[in-house]
Amino acid sequence: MSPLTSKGFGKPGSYLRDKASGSTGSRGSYAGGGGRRRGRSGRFSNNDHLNPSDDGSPRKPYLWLTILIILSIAITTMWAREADTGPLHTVRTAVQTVTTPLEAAGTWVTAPARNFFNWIGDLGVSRSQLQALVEQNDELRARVVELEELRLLDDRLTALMSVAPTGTAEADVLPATITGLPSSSYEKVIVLNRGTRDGVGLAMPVIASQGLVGVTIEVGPNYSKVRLITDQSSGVAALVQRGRDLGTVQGSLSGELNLNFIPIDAGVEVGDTVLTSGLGGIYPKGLVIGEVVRIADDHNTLYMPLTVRSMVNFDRLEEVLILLNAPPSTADLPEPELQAIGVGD
Amino acid sequence: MGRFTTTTISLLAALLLQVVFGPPLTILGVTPNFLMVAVIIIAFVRGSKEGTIVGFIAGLLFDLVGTTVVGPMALALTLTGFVAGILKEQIFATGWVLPVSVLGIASLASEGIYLVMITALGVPMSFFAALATRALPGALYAMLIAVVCFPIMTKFLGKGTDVEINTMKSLR
Repeated sequence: MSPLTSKGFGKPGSYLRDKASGSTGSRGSYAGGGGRRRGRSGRFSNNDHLNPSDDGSPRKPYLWLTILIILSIAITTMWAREADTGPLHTVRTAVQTVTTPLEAAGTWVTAPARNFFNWIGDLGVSRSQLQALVEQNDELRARVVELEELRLLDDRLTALMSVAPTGTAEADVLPATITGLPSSSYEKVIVLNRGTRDGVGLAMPVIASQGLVGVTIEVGPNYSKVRLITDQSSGVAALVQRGRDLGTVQGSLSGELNLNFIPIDAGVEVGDTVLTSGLGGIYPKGLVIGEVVRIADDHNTLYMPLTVRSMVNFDRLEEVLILLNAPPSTADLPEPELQAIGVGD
Repeated sequence: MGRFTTTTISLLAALLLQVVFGPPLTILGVTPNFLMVAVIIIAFVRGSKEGTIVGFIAGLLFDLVGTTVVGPMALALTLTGFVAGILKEQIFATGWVLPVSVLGIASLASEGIYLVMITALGVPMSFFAALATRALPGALYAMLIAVVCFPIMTKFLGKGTDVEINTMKSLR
């Protein structure tokens, strides 16, 4: 019998028919039935809350349960074993090609409400915080002037020495709009409105004006999914700008970034800027990841327990840039390396 | 409308809500799981067999619109649909307070099974931290959704059933 045929589910009105025919059941047959009923064999069963259906056929919930559990496990195994072009991956791409516009519609429709709640949240900024921000702004203005001078100097020297700059300068940059927010509590993955039709591929870095955002992990014709650096599956090869110490920035379920593998005797301090190191083959060197905000007081470890805060406000991101050909190229990266940075399964 | 039609419509409506409104309704990192709520209510109204089948389909759809491994939520909701159906058949009482409470427990169990599965499959996360910061708030969120959805869905799914009659009585 087909699992969802109207016969299997019974027919409307059978509850009333049961009552009219003097059925001894205290519950309606819609609800799966309780009490004693006559089964197919014509005998009454004490386990009828599990067995009978409206037409008297056995419902066999344990049989269905067993079959579907086995099927679920088989699907999970198949998914883990098959390649990106396998049937399950193809089905997922097809499903997501259909659902992505719906997701985008939801994000668009609810944007005013989200902006309103964000605005309410901002009302809580205190006078002292405001004063601190004003001071910081003055300081940053001075830094901008200073850095602009340095940038002009760098441009001149680069031209003179004909040295190709690292980072994003060599990459083709594609602007993209965020059309979907994380759809599950356990993953921090956003959806962009650019896909293979725009030249987007797997494992391409995504940045915002404040720094690194994440990497593309799934690409369809009209969409791409980006795993944020704050996702617990994400890992970025990193470099502390001041001390040049190398480590790995790892996301977490809470959204905090942890900087791992920095030796305990390294001179990292709160406020140090953390950049991508260019190692690992995905992210180009020199992209801003964030700054060190906390050093846990634990002397019993080999590595410093460091917490990094990204400058990017992931809750309010609207537009990002995809680095299409960021050096070094990632097209030929082996599967284990892709998995190490959270790309692929 | 027949049972197959109403069940299918309920499932599609839950999928639409999940895709369109699930992500924007995320609160403190917890995204509502409309599909799970629908499975548990369908299991309450229709019993364990339908709960099991609908749970499998809903879980598979949830996995397909997500980005992690396909299959764990199908398993979690299959078990949840079955258990919710059994619970309903064994302990159901009048009113909606008990069903909504049972729904909270069932959704916590479902999140727990899902967590066990994805942790076992190598998704790096602390099981107990995820249980405390995602599964537990997720179950409370599901109960909140159920307070609104339970009367509507029971009325839609099972006109004339004991579940629908008791729910409507308790709301009057």
